[in-house]
Order: sequence, then structure tokens, then C-alpha cells
Amino acid sequence: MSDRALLLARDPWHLFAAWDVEPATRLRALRSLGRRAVAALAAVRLVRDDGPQPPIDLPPGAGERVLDAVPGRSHVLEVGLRLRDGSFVALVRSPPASTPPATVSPDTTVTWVHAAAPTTPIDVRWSGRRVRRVRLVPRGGPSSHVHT
Amino acid sequence: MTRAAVAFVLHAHLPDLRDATAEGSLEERWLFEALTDTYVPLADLLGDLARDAVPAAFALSLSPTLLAMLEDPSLRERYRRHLGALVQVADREVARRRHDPALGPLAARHRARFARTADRYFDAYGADLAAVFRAHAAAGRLELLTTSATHAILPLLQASPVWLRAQIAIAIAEHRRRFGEPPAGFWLPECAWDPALDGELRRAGIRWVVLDTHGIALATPAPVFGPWAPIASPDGVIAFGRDPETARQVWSREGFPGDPWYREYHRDLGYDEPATLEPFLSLPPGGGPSGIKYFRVTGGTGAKAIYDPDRAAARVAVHARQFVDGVAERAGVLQATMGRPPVFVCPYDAELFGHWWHEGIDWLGAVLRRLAEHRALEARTPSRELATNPTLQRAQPAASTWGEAGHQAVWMAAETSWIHLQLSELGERVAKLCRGAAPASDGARSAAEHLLLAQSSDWPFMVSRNTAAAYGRHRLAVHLGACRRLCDALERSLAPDPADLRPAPLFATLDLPRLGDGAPLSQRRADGYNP
Repeated sequence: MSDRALLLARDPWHLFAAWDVEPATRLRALRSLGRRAVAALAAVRLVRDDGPQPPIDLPPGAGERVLDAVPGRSHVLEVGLRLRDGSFVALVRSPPASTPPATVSPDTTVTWVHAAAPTTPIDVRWSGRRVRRVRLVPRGGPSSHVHT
Repeated sequence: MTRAAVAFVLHAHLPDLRDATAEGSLEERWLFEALTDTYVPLADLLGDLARDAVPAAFALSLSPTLLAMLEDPSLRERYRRHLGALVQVADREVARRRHDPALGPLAARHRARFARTADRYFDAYGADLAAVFRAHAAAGRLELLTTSATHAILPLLQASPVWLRAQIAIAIAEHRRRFGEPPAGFWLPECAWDPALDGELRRAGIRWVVLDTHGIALATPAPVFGPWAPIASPDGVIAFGRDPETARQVWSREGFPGDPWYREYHRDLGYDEPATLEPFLSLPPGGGPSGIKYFRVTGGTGAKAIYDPDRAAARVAVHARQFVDGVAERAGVLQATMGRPPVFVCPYDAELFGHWWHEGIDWLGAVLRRLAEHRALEARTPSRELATNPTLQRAQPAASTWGEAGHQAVWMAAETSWIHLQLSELGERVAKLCRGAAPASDGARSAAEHLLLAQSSDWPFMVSRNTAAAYGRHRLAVHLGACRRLCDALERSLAPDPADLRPAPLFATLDLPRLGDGAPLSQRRADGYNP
């Protein structure tokens, strides 16, 4: 399996994270870090739309985890290494995932739209055989509707 | 004054059970039970309403996998043999119970029902229920909709947009192939919505979906009419919300189906006396359902009382009246508050009616007949409701499902959470294979079909709910394993193992190169509602 990270919203307060990082990817990263790689720990962190969250250290072999989240926010999962100086090096990033809202929206804006009625197809028949299909267009033409 | 609407939306679905199921298997029998208990009686109900000129309509979602099985000639023949075996079992029961004044008439009733089902399905309907439903749809009594190709939960495929689009596009193409027109409505498996689906569904030409109540209640901006009026998403998908009260009346433990006079589902001759069925039906150790049931719900887990069809019919009438009166009372209050007639959207699994709740189809018929005569209410399909009340509030529905706790936890349970990463990885590999594949490539087609089948919600549901868990695990292993082996072989230009090739296409409309492109698979609607 190639390097991969997946983040799915479980509910407003939790995200399901799963990942796979190839040993070669980890090794390359450690090599490039040089001395900074000493005592580096495998870790994951969430990057919320307001910034990165503290990394969570992983036990050996971990490949998935349920992470605490904030309702109604967008998150990205980063899987990587937590270095001794506290910095985080991401090896794989997931596509973003948004948690659902947990409460009624404070936004009370009301915008009305009109669901344009589809026209009805009518079969024109001759001796029982369909020869043509025509459509009735609402009076005033389609432009009189605001399509939703 | 326009009447308030009651919109029944029934979802008929079974996973494709043709893989690894031998004739007489328990899994194959799920289809036969659903045919006998639900699908044929539903067709009968529509015929009765048409005969009596009852102005009632409802919506029915038919999943692509169910439709594929319904049109499989070998399954039709096997169903004929299954019904024949049931008639023989019932014949023996009639003889065995002939001196029993309580069970004797029930045995005769079962015998008559099996024989009548065979007559209706093979003679009246020509073993083609899709054609029957298509005719009722053409007459305006039914609105047909589709659901994702293999009943994949679409928000879980957000990270694999190629397959998200494929699940939608294949379903619409299969619907169009069978019913002549693309559907306006799309049943979201588990009613699972995420704002990420908005544009995908809209580009595919989908007009409306149904969400659980909180999907509407927590929408942004806050909908002024709650779940009793549909809302239009930013991209233009119209979302109807489930009415919570009618959901409670039918779904909850204390709802109508739990009435002590209704027939008990779990007490079955196949469990009580499996030996009596053995010459005709093969049953697993411990027995299995036969459809011959003599007892009523009664209450509790103690001894069950004998079923009384007349008393059950009387309860159907009472519950139909309670349902309609309750909706009418709330409609009056809501209409005064809203200043427009509300819509009560009632989505249910179709198999609840007739199969799990034996009297459910009779109840649905009684409700539809009452609604047809009602001054303040009308049974209306979602599309008809949009034509009647086309002014909608613009709002983005909230991510939601009608599953456990209203969200996705069941799909991320420890037993099955491992599949998501595999589906993501295989999704990329199969999409790449499809891009370079000849349209007739058996290998790429089989890999795509195994992947689509592995995306089905049914297998993890069986595992996490411990209902047929072994079968769910088996199907996941079969499809993920075969898909992986096919990818490994085809990526190296090796001949695939013939055992991994699927013998016949699951979906006639599967378009491999187009699928692999991953571009939005736009389905132009023929009714003028083209985005």
C-alpha cells in the first residue's frame, strides 16, 4: 500500500483517522532530518481551519484512531514525526474533512428560491408508435423561473 | 386551499446476493422472502389502488442491485421452485393441523398466500416487477427513484471522488435503462448526507433527496419551517426532512408494528420445528425462517398467543386512522404557524412493510385510502410536492444519517473500520486500470465490479450488527481479495486468475474509460431540469 491518510467525520465531536506510511518514507524523512531525528516519535495531528493542534504520539504499529474534534469545522490529518524540540514533520496529509454542526445555526438569513417545475415529456404517437417526444414549456419560458 | 402533503418514500434494497450463494442458501432466501412478503404485495397494492381509482401516490426507491437480481432469469426460476416448495410445506401443514381449530385455518391461509404469490408473480406480472412498477409510475401513482449503485454510503467516499461519482452515475444510468427516464430523486443510503455531495448530485441531474430530521433542523441558515418544508442547497439539490413523529409511530419499539395483535416475525415454523420442513427446504443448523408463522406479538418474551388475522385487520384500521388523524391535527397547527401547508415526509425501508411488519402493506393501503378522502391532507410524491409548493428556503443541509446516533459511528466501528483505507487504495488503482482499459476488458471490469461491491454498506452493517456477520465478512474478503489480485496481475500485464473474473457484468451500463476519467459524470435530464 502506498502512503495514504484518510479522515472521515464520525459525528460532530469525533473524526475517524486511518493511515499507512511506508517504512521507506519514514526512513527517508529520518535521514533528511539528520541529528534532529534522534528520539523522533511517530505522531498524528489535526490541522483545523484555525491552525494545527498538538500532536498525539502513536504506539508502534498504529494505523487508525478516533480523534476529538470540534463541531462544524474543517480538519486535515497529518501523519508524521514529533521531534525532540517539539516541532512536527508531516509525512502524509489527508484530504480535508468537516465535522457536522451540533447546534441550530445562528444564521437566520432567509432567502427564497423557486424550484422550477420540470416540463413533462409527451409522446407524439402515430398508429401506436412513438414518432416524436415533445415538451411543454411553462408559460413565459424557462427564464421566468429562478432555477434552484 | 392546498392540502398538506404526506409523502411516503419507501426504499427497497437488497445487496447482490448472487455471489457465493448456492440454490437454497439462506442468503438467496432473503430475496425470496422480500418478494413474497413485500415486493409482490406492494405491486398488488398499487393494482388495487388503480382498480379503485384511489388518487394516491408515493415514491419507491429500487436499488440497482435489487433490480439486477429481479431481472436475473436463473433467480426467477429458483424463486418458482422455492414457492413450489413452500406450497408443499404448507400442504403438509394443512393436513397436519386439520383437527386444530386455531392453527388449521392459519395453515390454510399460508398455503393460499404462497399459491397466490406464485400466480401473481409469474402469471399476472410475468415475473417482471420492474415493468409493473414502471407502468404505475407512468400512470402517476408512483415516483421511482434510485440509490447508489451498490448501496455505498456516499459521504464515506469523499476521498475517492471517482467512485463517489461512479456510484451515482451507474445508478442513474441503470435507472434510465430500465425505466426510460433518469430519476428526479435519489435515495441516499442510510439517508447519509454531507455538503460535499451537493455539487456531485446536482451535476448528475438529481433534483431531490431525503434526510433525517436533524439534517434539516441543523442546516445553515436555520430553516424557518423545520423539517416540514424542503430546502434548496446552495448547488440546488432539494432536501426533504423526515417527519420525526410519523417515524416514531412506525419505527420505534412502541410503534404500530409492536402491537400485540400483529403477527410475530421471529416465531417461525422453520425455527420451532425445522424437521417438518427438511424434505422441502434446506435449513441451516438451528433452523431458519420459512414464512410460516402462527403466533402474534403478544408482548414480552414469554409464550406467544396464536395469531388472529381478523383482530389484526381491526388493528390495521385503528392504526391507519390514528396515523392520519395525528398528521391532520399537526398539519392544522403547523399550517397556522407556517402560513403554508406542511409536508410530512415518511421515509421507510420498503421491507418493513409486509416482511418485518406483516400487516404493514395493508396499513399503508388503508392510510392511502384515508388520505385520498381527506379534506386537509393528500398523499403526494416529493416531485409533486415541489410542483405544488415550489417556493423554498435556500440552506445547506447538515451532515447527518438516519443511523445510530444520527451520524457515521456504525461505519467506523472497530470490526470494519479497516476497510476504508483498503477501499481508498484500491479505488486509486482500479481507476487507473479503467482509464487505460479497453471497454470490453474483463479484467478491469471485474476489478471495478469487485470494488463497487466491496463499497456496499451491507457487509459492514452485517458485521457490526452481528446479523449474518460471517456472511458479511466473507463478502468483504471475497471482493477486496479478488480486486487486489486483479490489480496486481493487470498492473504487471499478467493474465488474471480466471477465478477472480466475474462471469457476467453486474451493471450493463458500466463504462470503464469514462469511469476511470474521474470527471463529473453529468447525466442530462430529459425533462427540462438540466443544470
